[in-house]
Amino acid sequence: MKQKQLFSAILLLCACMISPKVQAQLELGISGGYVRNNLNTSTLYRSFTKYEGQNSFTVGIPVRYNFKDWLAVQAEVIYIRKDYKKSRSYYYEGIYQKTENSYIKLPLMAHFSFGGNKLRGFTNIGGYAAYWANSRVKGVTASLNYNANIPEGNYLQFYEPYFYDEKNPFDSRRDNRIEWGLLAGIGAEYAVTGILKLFIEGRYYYGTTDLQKDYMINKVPRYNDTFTIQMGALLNLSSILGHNK
Amino acid sequence: MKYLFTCILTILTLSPFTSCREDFPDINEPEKYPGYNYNEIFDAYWNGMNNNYIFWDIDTTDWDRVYREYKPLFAKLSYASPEDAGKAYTYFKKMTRGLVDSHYYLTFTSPFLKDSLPIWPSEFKRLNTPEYDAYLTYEHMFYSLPGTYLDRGLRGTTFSERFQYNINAMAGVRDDNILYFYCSGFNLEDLYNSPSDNDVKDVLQYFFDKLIATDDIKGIIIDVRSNNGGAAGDLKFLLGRMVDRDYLVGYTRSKSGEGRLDYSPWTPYYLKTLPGAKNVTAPIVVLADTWSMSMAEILPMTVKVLPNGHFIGERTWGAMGPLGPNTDTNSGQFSTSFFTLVYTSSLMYKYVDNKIYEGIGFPPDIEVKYDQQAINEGRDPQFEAAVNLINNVK
Repeated sequence: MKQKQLFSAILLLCACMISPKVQAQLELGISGGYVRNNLNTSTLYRSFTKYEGQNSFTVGIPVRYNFKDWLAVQAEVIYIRKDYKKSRSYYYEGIYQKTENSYIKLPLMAHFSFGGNKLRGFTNIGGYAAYWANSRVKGVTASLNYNANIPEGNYLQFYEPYFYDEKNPFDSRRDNRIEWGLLAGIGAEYAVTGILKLFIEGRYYYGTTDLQKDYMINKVPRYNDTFTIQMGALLNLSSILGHNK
Repeated sequence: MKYLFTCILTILTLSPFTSCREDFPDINEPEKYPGYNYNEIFDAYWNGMNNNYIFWDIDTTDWDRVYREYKPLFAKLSYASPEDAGKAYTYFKKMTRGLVDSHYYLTFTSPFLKDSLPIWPSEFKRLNTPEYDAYLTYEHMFYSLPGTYLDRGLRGTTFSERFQYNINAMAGVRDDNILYFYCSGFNLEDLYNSPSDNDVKDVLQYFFDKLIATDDIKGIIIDVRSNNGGAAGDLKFLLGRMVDRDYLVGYTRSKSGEGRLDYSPWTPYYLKTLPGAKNVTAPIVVLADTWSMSMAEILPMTVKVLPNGHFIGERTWGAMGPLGPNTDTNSGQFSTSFFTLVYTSSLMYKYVDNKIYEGIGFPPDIEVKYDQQAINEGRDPQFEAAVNLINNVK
């Protein structure tokens, strides 16, 4: 319910920004970049076990609707990978699992810009909805095949390691495949011509929905914390189509 | 100014949603709960099970319902009362009655309950089913059977330091070409490799010598009836001498996180051949019964994978999940201030046919029921069926 309230708040904010004297310009582009995702969760009391953030990538199609020269609404359709890794250490060194989660994400944000005609800075503030499309796991675990011939060693010397790289099937009892969250970004853009802009942005996504459904008492929640650095280009469609006055 | 105002308005509108995240539950290691009241005793146990029990994917026990029903009951108990300790025992028995893990049992540290019987849900189920049979006795296995059916052999008993019980073992020969091996538990490799002499080492050596020296083996009978299981490594140690290649026999998986349904991928489990192994093509017949547990079930399941493997006897106990220290797999057995041990599997086991036989037991090729009257008369119909199969196989 809170997620629907979040989405409604974002839509309302965007509606409030519409001024009667709209000098609307529509821009369409592409973007892509680096992603660093961390899974915000807990290993409870587990020994020699930790979660680590992982690097991946994102690509997307931004659409920006400019109301004023300093204010716009921006929506995007993006593909983003939110990976994380769980690993063990000391005696259990070598045991790990990397989870690669693919999302189709729809950020919606207010875009505030400042500066000159060519070079401008901007901030983006808003929220997103995302669909967890796919999951894959890669890693090493210990099999039950025991080597009794070595006098000493670590766990993966006593128990034969098993290497895996496979699809991670969703479990409808557990997996929450819709993610909602907030975003904030800061960046700069350069108007190459009156039609083409290039931009670079650092953006943070704060997941507000647990990756799991509420399927058990004392569930340990999991949230995605995602940081991206992305670059892209925007074309001023209004100028191209001759609608700009 | 308008820019700044709009920016701040946006932030203020969205900032309440940063509190959408739930807090992490306050859960500690089960051993660390002080446990001086039944609230803590319940929480330590219930949370320990919630995070460490490996079978939630297939277990029909509604663990959340157990929480809602029993937490208020435990809250009313007094830690100092012997009568309430008895009530706690009854509650734990009811809470665990339906658990599918057939290794599972609870033993107590409570001064009021330390002399009580362990809570063993699968034994309770077994004693109340028609399949319940008596345990084959030491006297039958060590004296009656070899005296009636074997021409010669060797038997012995050695205490297993690892498992803290006696291992009885016997090897023999019938008709010069049917080899027989029996053990009451599995710790064979450790005892064989022990620097000191022991009876089980001698029995194993006798059997291995016969395996190598007998050129025209007609059949091998491996008897794991009324065997409580033990070391998983004994599968390779014993059967690995009889095959000349590896065989896929099943899969295991462990927990991958703190949720009940967090599992690692299924990891293949192989019967591995040993260097210098003899490729036995004659029938290998395993005898197992309703009291064959754990490793004594994995063994007949493995033998049935072999092209010359057979299983005669009764459906086994149904305790296939391997066990080990909790820190190895972040799952399985644990203790609390109230329980000496919550004994439960660390891994889930799936057979090569992709079925899970936990709580169900593994069925024989040829069912021969336990016959108390025959046993009283000194006969062993299950052993006779094994010999009959070997003598008549084409």
